[in-house]
Amino acid sequence: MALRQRGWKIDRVTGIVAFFGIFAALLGLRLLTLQVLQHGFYTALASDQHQLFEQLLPTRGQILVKDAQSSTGYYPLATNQTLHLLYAIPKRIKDPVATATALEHLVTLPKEDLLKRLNKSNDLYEPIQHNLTDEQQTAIADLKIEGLYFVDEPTRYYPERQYGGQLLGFVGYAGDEKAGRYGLEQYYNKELAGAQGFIKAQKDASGQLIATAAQAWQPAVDGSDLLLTIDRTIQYEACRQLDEAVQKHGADSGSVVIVQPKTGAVLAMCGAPDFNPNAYNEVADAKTFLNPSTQIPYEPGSVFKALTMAAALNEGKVTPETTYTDTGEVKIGSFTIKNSDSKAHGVQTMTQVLEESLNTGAIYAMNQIGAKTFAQYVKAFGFGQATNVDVAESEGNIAGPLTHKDIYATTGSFGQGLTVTPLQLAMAYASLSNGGHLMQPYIVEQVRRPDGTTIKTEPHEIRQVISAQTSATISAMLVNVVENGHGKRAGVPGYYVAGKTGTAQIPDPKTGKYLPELTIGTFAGYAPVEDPAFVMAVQLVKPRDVQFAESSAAPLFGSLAKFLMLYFHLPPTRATTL
Amino acid sequence: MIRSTRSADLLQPQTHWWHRLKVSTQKFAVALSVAAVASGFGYVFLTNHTAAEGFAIKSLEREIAQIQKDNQKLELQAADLRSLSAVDQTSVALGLVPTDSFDYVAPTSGAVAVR
Repeated sequence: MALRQRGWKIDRVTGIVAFFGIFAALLGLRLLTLQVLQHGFYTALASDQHQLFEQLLPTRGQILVKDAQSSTGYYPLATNQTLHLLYAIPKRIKDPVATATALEHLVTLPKEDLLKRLNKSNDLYEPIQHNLTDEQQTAIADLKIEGLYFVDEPTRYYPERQYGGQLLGFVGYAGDEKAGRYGLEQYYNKELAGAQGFIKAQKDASGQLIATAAQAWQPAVDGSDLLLTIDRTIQYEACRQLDEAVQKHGADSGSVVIVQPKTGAVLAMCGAPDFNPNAYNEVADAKTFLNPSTQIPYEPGSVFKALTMAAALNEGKVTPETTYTDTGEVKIGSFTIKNSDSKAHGVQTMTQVLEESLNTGAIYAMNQIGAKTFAQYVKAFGFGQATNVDVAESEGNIAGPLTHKDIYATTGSFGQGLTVTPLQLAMAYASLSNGGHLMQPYIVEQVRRPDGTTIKTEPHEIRQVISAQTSATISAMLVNVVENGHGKRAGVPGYYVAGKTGTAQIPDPKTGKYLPELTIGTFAGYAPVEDPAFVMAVQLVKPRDVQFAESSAAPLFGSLAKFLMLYFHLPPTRATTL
Repeated sequence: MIRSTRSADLLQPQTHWWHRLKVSTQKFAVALSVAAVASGFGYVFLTNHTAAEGFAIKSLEREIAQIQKDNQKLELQAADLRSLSAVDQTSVALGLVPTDSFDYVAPTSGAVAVR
């Protein structure tokens, strides 16, 4: 009995030991699994639960122009606003039909589409509407529907709306991230966007930050503001008048670029049709986003004759009084080139060549310097290369004249067979006006960093193309164009205005020939000629009601020039005769 | 008097060092308890104070955020009203007409304000 009792005791102790032994072994195995074999998985799981990592978004820089009326001294052409995204978690919505009915009049989405989205019961996130205002958000929040939520959306806002879209561009999506698209928004995206920051910390079970735990923090760096050379009054008026002219003449499109000739600072840059950057997604044709002043090169036509003449004057091969006999046509190999009126004008001076816009006269002037020298001047005036303005641009094409072949030099002398952008043309005319200096155009005057430092753009001369004497001579000849020639409607009473018309033929890409009736009308010029305050290039593409630039582009130039004289408070320099 | 002195002397061995230690320990324990209670109250007070400060800071931060938001809205509103298209529309509504020409008056010698 004692032994049995003892034996039982031994068995019982052994059993208990064995039980705890097995329990310990299982516990050890479980610990091995958790802490060694699945260490990575559980570390990551724990990390997700107690680690906090959030990106800190910078505020995008504003695009400003000077505004003396404002208390800050600036007016924002592009700024930021906070709108709201409404989203749903469908599985939390109890009655999708009632919810869709309640939302129907508060969002733009049709009820059927709303229902489709709300009925995705397994969906954890369904965006309903972007860009809700505070008032819209409050109206929806007041419905107190479970399963509807909001998140703030920083959004770009352009107060001037319809004018300047092509210059400013917009902020859209590049992949998954928001970025500047087109115009200044794209060109200066890096400066405007700033740099993202982050916060990395530990949180407790209730989601509160643990102050004593390890933390890493890098603040976001806000974007820089851009201060433009654009004068918003001139920009508005130029764009408004351009819009009116395009509509009046039934033109396909048009552009106006206005520059300070001494510095290269761009005062206005407009395209028509333009777009509202607040509603860029409503634009049907992506070509509308292109800036016609810098991105769409074209054959300029007779407006180029002033540059051909300036080259010949500068080489000392002609003077304003040099004469030639206009027979009405010039033969180059198998090609016959005629004047636009197909008439022979007899003996003509170089001044008359510009006044009457004679193709034969431009060819005569070019021939005096030769195809090679002519090509050198074309290049020296800045064509066929980037102006390095601070928006996207095309270089144009001067491959023809650069071959030094007679036919290309001949057509090039009156602005056909080569392509230029309106801005290149304006800068070349600026060099005619300012003593021969080709300036680099610029739109951003200052980049203002958030730390208060600024980067200022200084005027930059690229090269001297013609002498000051030639500049004065060609200016006087171009005044005659406005006084006596085809540019009369570009004149402003009381002022000497210099300029030249250009009615260019348009090549048909399908046939390779020029379109029979449609043209591009251009007027480039500057005023007051004694001390030019502005140089301007105006272009109307395919005006339907008139044939020549003297009736399309020249009147628009004249109207804008008159506005500018008044705006700049420039008193008249001559008796009113026009 | 002598007796009492003697009896005091007789009592002397009872104030042995360990007894004094015991008394000191008791005093220390009491002091420690008082300190612990004081610390407890102090901790509760500080925690309460810090929490109150925290709430006040959060409330001010919310206020600042709201003011910044309101400011942003007002700036946008001002920009909208100052946009040239808005100015143009207002001037048309007011019946204003664009200035067509200026008369520049040339200064002449002897010009004076009469009164």
